[in-house]
Amino acid sequence: MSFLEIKNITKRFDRQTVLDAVNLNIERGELVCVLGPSGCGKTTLLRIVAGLETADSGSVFMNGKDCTYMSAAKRNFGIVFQSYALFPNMTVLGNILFGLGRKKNLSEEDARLRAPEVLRLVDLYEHKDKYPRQLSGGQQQRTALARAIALSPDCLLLDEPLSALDAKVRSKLRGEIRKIQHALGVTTIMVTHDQEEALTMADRIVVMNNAVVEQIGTPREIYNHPATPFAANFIGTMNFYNHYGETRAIRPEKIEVVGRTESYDFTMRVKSLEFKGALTGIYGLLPDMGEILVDVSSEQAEALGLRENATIFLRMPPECLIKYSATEV
Amino acid sequence: MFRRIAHRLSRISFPQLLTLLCVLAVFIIALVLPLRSLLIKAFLDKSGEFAGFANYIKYFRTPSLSVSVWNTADISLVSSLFSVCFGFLYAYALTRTRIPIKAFFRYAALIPIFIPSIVHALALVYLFGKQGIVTGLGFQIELYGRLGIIISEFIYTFPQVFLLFYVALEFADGRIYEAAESMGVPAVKIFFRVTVPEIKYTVVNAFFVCFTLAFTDFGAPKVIGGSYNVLATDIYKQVAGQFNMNMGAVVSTLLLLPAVASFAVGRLINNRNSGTISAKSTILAIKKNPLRDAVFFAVCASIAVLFLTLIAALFIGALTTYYPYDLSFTLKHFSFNPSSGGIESYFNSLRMSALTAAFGTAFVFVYAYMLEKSSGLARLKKLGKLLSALPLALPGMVIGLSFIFFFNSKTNPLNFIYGTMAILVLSNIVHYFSVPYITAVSALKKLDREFESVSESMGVPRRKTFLRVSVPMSMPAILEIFMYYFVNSMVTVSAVVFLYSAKLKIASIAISHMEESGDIAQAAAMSLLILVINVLVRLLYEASVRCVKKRMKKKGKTHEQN
Ligand SMILES: Nc1ncnc2c1ncn2[C@@H]1O[C@H](COP(=O)(O)OP(=O)(O)OP(=O)(O)O)[C@@H](O)[C@H]1O
Ligand SMILES: [Mg+2]
Repeated sequence: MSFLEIKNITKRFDRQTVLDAVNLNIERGELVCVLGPSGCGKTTLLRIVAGLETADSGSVFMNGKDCTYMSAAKRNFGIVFQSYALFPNMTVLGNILFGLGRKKNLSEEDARLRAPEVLRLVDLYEHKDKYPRQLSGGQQQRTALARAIALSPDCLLLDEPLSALDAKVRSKLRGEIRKIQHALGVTTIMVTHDQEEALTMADRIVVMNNAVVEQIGTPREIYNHPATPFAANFIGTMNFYNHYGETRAIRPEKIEVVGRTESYDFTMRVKSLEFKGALTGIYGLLPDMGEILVDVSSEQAEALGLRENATIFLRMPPECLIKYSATEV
Repeated sequence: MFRRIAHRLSRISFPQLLTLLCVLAVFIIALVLPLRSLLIKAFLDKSGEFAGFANYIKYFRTPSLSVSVWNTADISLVSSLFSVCFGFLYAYALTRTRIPIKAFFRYAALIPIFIPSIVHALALVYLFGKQGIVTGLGFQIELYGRLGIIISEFIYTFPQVFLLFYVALEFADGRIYEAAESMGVPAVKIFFRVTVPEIKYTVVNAFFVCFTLAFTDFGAPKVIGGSYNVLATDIYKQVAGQFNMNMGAVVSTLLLLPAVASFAVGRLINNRNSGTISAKSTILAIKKNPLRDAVFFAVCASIAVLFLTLIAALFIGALTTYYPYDLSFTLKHFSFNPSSGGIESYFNSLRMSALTAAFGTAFVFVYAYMLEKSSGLARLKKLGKLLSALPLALPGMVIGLSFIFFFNSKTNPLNFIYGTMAILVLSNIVHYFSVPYITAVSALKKLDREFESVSESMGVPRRKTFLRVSVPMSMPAILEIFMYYFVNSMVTVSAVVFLYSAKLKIASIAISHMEESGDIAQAAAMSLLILVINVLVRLLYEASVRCVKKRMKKKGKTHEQN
């Protein structure tokens, strides 16, 4: 029995189906990323889990107990919204105390002690008397996180917690969120549309598209064995080509560039080169198969002396090939 | 299935449902049911039998009655045209030219708001009447009748038009003008190709607002109309003079016509009205142009002088012994004859306005909050939205009359509020509901939708979120609503003219009685008292908004690396 079981959840707004029979099991203490393009229903799923929205059908179990009809207040879930929703007229401390005052079995005294504790945890103690607008984006984000974990929730729900931040802050906070989540051991569902975020942070990833779950698995499983072409394309880059009626896919970095004397599968004329730092991307056309991208280490690219219009020889290791039936594409 | 519905209901929460039902019930009792009584009345004969359109046929077959329709349309049309023209020029001057003392002009334009429309007419009498100051200078006009009403309505509607245009012209996307200028487009062409399209909807809107206000105004024609009959005075004559309630109801329904028309047009243009100002807009830098500024300054100055002269006339009238024969200073006109209400009526007005402002603000804000922020209850909210637009279409006369029909009926359990302060306050809250409602909704829309969700998930009751977050965050809007209710209740005549009782007279009505019985100087004195309190409330409002905004800003001052 999983800690949280989401069974057959379906939700429609007007005529649009936003969630279509979504199933998902979440184990105690793990961090699950829900990854999908904008508008695929991620936020709606999170709101249903939180009890802020009612599903049209399906149920949610917590610890084996049916809580589909439980109110949000009783569920004891902590939420961080995309917009953070910090109360602008309250200080950082005020924001955290706002919810704490309501917790049963928590005296006023304990609430006063609890607030500094979580503020230290997210490293905001010295900013506790500032108002949200006086904080940087990252600090606001951590305030929202502190407010959510102050109530010692059974489960933490994060809706794109990092999407409003710039790249540097984002990668720093990824580590911090992960650290806090580990320290508290709190089960966490995090929604994101950033594949890198999902790959680096998640214990497991749920790939969603158009109201349905496409695949659930560890980052490694999803990257190496994407179950559908959508999952393959959405996470990392993938080359697709047609091979006798069968769709084959291979990651750009798995393709090997070999010398003409070695055994090779294809020859390719280099169309353009793209220097990406550690890697160099080689774009070219395979005869009858369409455009392909090959990633090689930049050292190798230099050693090969690649130029545009040069012809190179490619090997596709069979163990790296992924096959889809043509209808799936 | 049943449990799912139960869950939906539990998500709604009982207090929320109850609150929403309460505010809707108030609205239905104070608006829908009275209006229904009025409409029914229009289709009954005197004995209470169903009469179909007989009343209407009789009305239009009686030339002495139906002439009022054309009279009213006539004065409304002419005064609206003037108001829209000058309101636009005035607002344009303040936003797009470099004339001096703009702040002064801005306040001057608002003067008419602070006194009842009866007083506009009264002041005109002081200036252009038989013994008027201007008349004394040898400049005579036919004040009583059509011309007087038109001038009064112009004064009455000018501030509204000015405000509409001011808001529309205040924010200009400087980039568009710079681009046009850099391409060498002549100024006149820029005006017609850029400025006019920007404000064309405001022109239509302003015209309808004006037309409706003038069409339904009671105060000015009452004082200055002479034998020129308009609909609002007809209703009063039918009801208060001849006790012909059915004909009063018939005329009242005619008063709704322009509002219905503007509703239809408003629907049409609102769908196409889209804001073009983006976050990247730059502020328009106004070029130097002495000729333009001189012309606009002249326009603004003449209107400001007109308004100030009206106020000056009131001062002269109220503070001199016997204008125009004895101009020595006196305060004796401030000891009012008890027969017309006395100083008591002033205190009643203060009490009424304070109560209206307090209850009205609370009601409007809770109403708007429930419609904007409560979860679920989609159908009830839809009904609430529909109702919220209704008062905009209802002139004060119609509200007053329908209140009589509804609350004065013997079978109504609420009959006891008839003739009390409660009915006056209720009619004002309903009468002036729409503008405060829009203010409240736009303030609430600016608050993050997730505030409520966050609180809910933390188990914080909705009430606490409302009081600790929504209310403080909307303070400027709340103050504005309070001020609006107060000032309007101080000057209103049309709704309360049917509802006050002999024991409970109010200041604006007292002015009209003083004027009727020839105590013009006392009327002027009472007008001054109203003006003073309204200006004070306005200043208090501006000071507190500045204070609140400063406090809010302080909280966000550093606004670091964000
Ligand atoms: N209250 C609502 N009423 C009607 N439609 C809604 C409502 N909330 C969401 N939707 C629609 O449901 C779909 C899914 O919305 P949702 O917010 O769950 O997407 P998302 O995956 O979180 O997207 P994003 O990454 O942009 O946040 C969208 O098409 C949205 O327009
Ligand atoms: Mg979302």
